[in-house]
Amino acid sequence: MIESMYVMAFESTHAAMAAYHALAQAKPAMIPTPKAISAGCGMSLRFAAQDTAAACALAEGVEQIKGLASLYADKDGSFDLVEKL
Amino acid sequence: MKIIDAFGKQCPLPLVMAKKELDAGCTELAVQVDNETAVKNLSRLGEKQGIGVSVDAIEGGWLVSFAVGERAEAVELTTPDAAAPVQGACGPMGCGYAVFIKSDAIGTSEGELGGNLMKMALYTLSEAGDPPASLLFMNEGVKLLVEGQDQNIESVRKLMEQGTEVLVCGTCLDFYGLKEKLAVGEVSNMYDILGRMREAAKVIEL
Repeated sequence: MIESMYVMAFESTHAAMAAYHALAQAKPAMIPTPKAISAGCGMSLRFAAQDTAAACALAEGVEQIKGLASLYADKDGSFDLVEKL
Repeated sequence: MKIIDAFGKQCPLPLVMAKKELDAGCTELAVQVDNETAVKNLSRLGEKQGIGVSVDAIEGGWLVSFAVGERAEAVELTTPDAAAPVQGACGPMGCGYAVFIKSDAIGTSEGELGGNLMKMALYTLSEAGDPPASLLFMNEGVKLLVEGQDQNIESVRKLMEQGTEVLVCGTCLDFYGLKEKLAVGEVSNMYDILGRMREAAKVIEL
């Protein structure tokens, strides 16, 4: 299964930490928010997923994340915004 | 043959006693120790100085023998993808920089934030392209390197691939009952850990 890398950035630390637990099955790495991404919180998650839909599905239904997260495709150092959650 | 009885002596005494004799020019030295941490540390002392080391089981423990003049055999490196050590820039205060980690969190261990900050710090160090000459773990810091700490283990592995020397306090691992669970890094002692700090031009404490 070919997977792509995604970075999820957040407007608040609490949203970031809630997402870390919600996305546990994707084994996210906790990373400092990349300089190319502007976000309210300095903590972001980096993880692999099959595609954008799969990546978004992981965060679905988690109240603490709603409206506070942005999903980026990680293209080796450059980041394309794919969805706002 | 000079024999040092280090039975009952706690780390780092056996190491200090042995180094004193070797530095004074002793060419045949044997040290009696009663714990495996001491065996590991004495063996490493020999390897680093290019001195042949042999270990024999004796009643109550082990006899670690040094024979100056015998080239040590090529040591099977236990560290994955061992790389040439970081050649840190040298100045009057020392060479390169050391990072000293004495807790499993940045700030208090209570709550999630500290542990997360530490994960990010190790990640950032591993990606920055300017690795420390040595990464030193003591007290609760050793907990970051046990089985299960996937992200931290990965960051430390990446640093070792870049030439960072990773030393983990043996006494601390023993205290927390984690000796068998160390997933990455070299078991070490106060003598070596402090030595790296003194050799570094700068020590960053997390």
